[in-house]
Amino acid sequence: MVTFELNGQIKSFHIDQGEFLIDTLRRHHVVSPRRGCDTTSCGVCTVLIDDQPMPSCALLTARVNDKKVTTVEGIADFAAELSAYFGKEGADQCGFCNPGIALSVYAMAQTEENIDDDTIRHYLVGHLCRCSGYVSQTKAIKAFLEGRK
Amino acid sequence: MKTKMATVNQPHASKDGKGIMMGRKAYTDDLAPADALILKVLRSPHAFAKIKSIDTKNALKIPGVECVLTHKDFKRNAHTRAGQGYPEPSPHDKFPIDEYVRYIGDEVAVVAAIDEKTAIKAIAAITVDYDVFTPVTDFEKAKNNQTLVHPEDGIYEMFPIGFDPKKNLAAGYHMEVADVEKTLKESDVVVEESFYTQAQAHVMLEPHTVNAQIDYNDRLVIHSATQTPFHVRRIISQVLEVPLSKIRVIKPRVGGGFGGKQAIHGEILAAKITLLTGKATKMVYTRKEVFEATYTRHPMRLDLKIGATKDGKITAIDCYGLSDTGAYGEHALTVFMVTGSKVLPLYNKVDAVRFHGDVVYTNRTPAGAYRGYGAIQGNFALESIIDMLAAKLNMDPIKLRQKNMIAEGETSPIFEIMGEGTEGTAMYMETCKLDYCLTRGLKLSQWYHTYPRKVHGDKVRAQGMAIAMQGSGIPYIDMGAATIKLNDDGFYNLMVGATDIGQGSDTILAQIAAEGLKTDLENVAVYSSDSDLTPFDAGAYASSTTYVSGNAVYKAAKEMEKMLLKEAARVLKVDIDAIDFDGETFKSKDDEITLKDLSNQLYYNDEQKQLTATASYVGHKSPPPFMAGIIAIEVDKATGEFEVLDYTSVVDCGVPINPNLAKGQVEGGIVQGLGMAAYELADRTKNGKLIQADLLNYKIPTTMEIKTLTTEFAASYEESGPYGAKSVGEIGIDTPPAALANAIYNAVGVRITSLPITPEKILSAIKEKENMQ
Amino acid sequence: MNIDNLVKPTSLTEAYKLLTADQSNTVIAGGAWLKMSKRTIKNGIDLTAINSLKGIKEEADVIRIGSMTTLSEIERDETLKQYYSGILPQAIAQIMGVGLRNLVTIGGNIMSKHGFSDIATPLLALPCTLEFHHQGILSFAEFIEQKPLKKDILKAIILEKQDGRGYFKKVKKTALDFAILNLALTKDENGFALAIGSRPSIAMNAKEAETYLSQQPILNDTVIKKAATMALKHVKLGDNPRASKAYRSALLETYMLRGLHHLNQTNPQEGASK
Repeated sequence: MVTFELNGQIKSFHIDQGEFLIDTLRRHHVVSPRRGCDTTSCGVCTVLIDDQPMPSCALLTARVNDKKVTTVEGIADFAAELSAYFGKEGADQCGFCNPGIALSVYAMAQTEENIDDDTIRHYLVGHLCRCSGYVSQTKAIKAFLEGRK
Repeated sequence: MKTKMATVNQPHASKDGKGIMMGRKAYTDDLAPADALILKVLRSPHAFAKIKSIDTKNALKIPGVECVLTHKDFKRNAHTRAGQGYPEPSPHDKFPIDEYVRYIGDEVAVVAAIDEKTAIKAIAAITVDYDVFTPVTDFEKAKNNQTLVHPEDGIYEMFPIGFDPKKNLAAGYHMEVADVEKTLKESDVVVEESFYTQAQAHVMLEPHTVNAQIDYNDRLVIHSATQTPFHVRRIISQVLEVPLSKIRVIKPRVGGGFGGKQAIHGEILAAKITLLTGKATKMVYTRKEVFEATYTRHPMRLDLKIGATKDGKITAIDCYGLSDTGAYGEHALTVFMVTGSKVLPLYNKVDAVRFHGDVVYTNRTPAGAYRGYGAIQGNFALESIIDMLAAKLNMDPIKLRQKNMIAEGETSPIFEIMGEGTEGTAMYMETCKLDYCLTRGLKLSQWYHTYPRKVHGDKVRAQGMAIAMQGSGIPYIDMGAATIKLNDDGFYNLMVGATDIGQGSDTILAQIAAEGLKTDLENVAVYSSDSDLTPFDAGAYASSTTYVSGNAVYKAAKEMEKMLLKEAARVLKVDIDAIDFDGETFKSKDDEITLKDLSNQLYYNDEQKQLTATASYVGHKSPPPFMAGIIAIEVDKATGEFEVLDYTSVVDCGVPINPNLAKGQVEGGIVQGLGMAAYELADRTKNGKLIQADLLNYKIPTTMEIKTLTTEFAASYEESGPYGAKSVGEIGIDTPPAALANAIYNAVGVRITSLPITPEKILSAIKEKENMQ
Repeated sequence: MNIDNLVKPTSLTEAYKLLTADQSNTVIAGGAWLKMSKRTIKNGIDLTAINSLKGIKEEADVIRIGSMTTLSEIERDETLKQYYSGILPQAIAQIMGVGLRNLVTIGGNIMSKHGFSDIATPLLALPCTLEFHHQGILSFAEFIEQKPLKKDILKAIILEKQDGRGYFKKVKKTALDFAILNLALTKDENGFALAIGSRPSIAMNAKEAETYLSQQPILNDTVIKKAATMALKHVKLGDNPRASKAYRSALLETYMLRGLHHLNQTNPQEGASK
């Protein structure tokens, strides 16, 4: 049994000791963390643990006991606002990587200062995207963060 | 001809962008029933073997294991997994599960269990006794090898494609215009080179996924992350001998395809077990399975000879190709033919041209469809050798291209001779802004500011370029259809078979419909790719959606408008010609009715009826998009390392239906092409095992490799396209390999002829050159 | 990977007792690559409840990095950014993505002894020792040479406070790639330290070149060239799918020259090159 705060609500789940967070979440219908690579290389399974992005495919669920877990469902307004900028830049394609990116952008906005293109490219390096070529994403994120100032 | 358009040619956001960003259930894995059995496949550890015996008893004893199927459980129905028009130009050389395994990763058995853990345990409990053979791993030694990849009976071609399994040939092709050898002999200058391309992996972020269930109507319902739902339905019916009428295939949101989901993958296994057990099943490929056991781009060797006069008129091009299709011949012939047909017409003024060669079987992961297939391999070779020819002629490579490349109003005999698997279709280039693309690209990239190079110590800046062409669908073969339905309140459903795999086709097709119906984009709700509910479409491949499916939507919208006018004329009691419709209101001289009122009347009050317009389109030609691509790099002479500083693309795709999404197609293609050009190694051990079989080792470009991309569209209007559009899905991927090779040459004077172009190859070539001097 | 049980001891003694109780019992640090392991673990020992293993502390003569400190914490640490031109945070910032660096701990990385480690290389070039629960203090080189690795719990990485400069270079294909070769060079009042990693085996010092350089009164082109030649001669390089031995040799030579020139030119306040 593990108990953690999931998107603002305290939840308890029965788990296997060797189970990974992505499997627990998906089994309980939180599907925004997606399975992409199995090797912590792609970023599509990203969740925030105590506001820090981490790959949920590598995180034992038992270890997030008492922690705060945020998926994109927990930052819905932020994600919706970001998506408008993705739309404006044509940065949306298959979208499989988008929820993970939204979470990292959320964390980045809280921890980094004077965010420019380089900050974004460095911060998002762990989010692979095979569709967009990245530049439109970076532009959208920059415009979004400027819009929030 | 051209009028100001309200919805088309506008940068609308993707209709689905918000819901996807917010993490809503959308993809195949999200939509699987919670109680679905989990399928796992036991895969061959050997590149070539025959199963002597297989023991599943222990696996079946594990609690929670529903069934274990092996080759004994499937009828030997030879088929091709390739999702192509029927009959397919690919050999029927695959059995659902076979007694032979032909590559490391080939299917041996499939387990269905209550959860993943149990399924994995069951896989480990299966024991197999193999008769292991020496595999054919070198594709240059495959033809006429004493080892036959397909020694079995019961495999065949659907029509002549050069299939000859007794020689390890999946397909072959030969065409020649005039006498190439004679023309080359008479040319002032001849350049000759062999080029090698690698087995690039698609690396769509969503792994291949399928789920299957039997619905309450006793029909088999399959959700699949596929680019070709209708082909999937047909192939499942053929292989499992289930009537087509019993099968429904739904394509949910797909997390990228790039050709990698154009063939069937887990669908047959999921369907079989669901039919057998009556239970829902789900299969999600691991990333390792995606690498080892789906398929890759066809690796090729292309031997090119090019002849020219002293003043730079290209006289002849001769290309022999050897393509490696791996264990199965999916898309073997079509990829090979496109290597010639979507490349050689770029230089259409030659006196003679030849394209010929073989597609061989080997014991490696099969090759199959992949964005820009054939074209990218051919483009790398041809656009490299054009720069080599320019160097030999001591001529500016830009001038050489300008003198010889195809122009508007021109044609090439190749269009008529070569199609995709069949003969081609003669056509003239009604839109070809290649000359503009090139000139504009040179200006944007400040080409002559850098050309040929700028040296600062060990660091050298240089640029390299290539031109490319693609197609817009496969004429006379691939059909797309669309249905538009009017609802009360006057909003429309657009139902298309066309397959949105992330490229945004739902959005651009809705834009075409909205434009035709003079309505807002929000007033068109799209539903795509459900074999029960949407009309047919061949699928998302061959750069066909904008042009082929788009034309179907255009026609359907026009048809719907006619129906609306007829109803409005009846209500307003005037002739159709007397009505003016602005998308919201029908006006006659004295009266008017809104679309909203008319549609409500049609549903509830007067002469009730459902208005539905369906139209189909099959291309009679395939107008090519064109582009010029220019890469700017900085090379470190001492290490061979290089950075990509910018990639300039100027593209003629007719009118971009959605300039933002079209730009996304181009830029995504460029970066994927850069991956193939520079980073993506796909090596195999001597035993045929893929070395880079996960994303820790197979490296695709990241945010850090891509700094800026400069992308523009040429003003262009293709009369035969919907609102002047041509397709744009593949053109972006074609130029990076040759452009990079040419840039490296411009920077440090060495010519790299095999992909990927790694710092190690560059440095080794630099050292070799220094040693020779 | 299969974990039967995950245990969260609150003291090192308890953790060590558990670790040595069963052959398959294993410390789980960040646990980033647990999934890829094929092992069955009876007791996974989660050290997150042991607070003394966390964080970076500046003491009078040393900087102590707790073994459970995450890579992200090190990357952002202001003291370490100033230490030997900040080569440790610099090296760490080039490891995979932010998400993984939030998860991976320095102790987990060190104990895995990956050949491609971007952490072993700078640590070998820094005045650094490792503090273990059972074995006490080991030099980093002793730790690398220890085969097989003794079952023990790494408590901290101890960096001796010194004024020194550093240079770090990771050669890689894409930003998310492992090193084809990495190299860390430092200079302080005791002389030079040169470490080369991802050879492709784990990092080692170029001892002959270190000694030679430390004996030279001035660093000129000839000296630097000779040192690079010595490093090339004594550091064992090999082939793997990422690069050939020949290419690694070329990289080693070039970056050794560049690094030494860099150390020769920069003053301690300046950061090293990328």
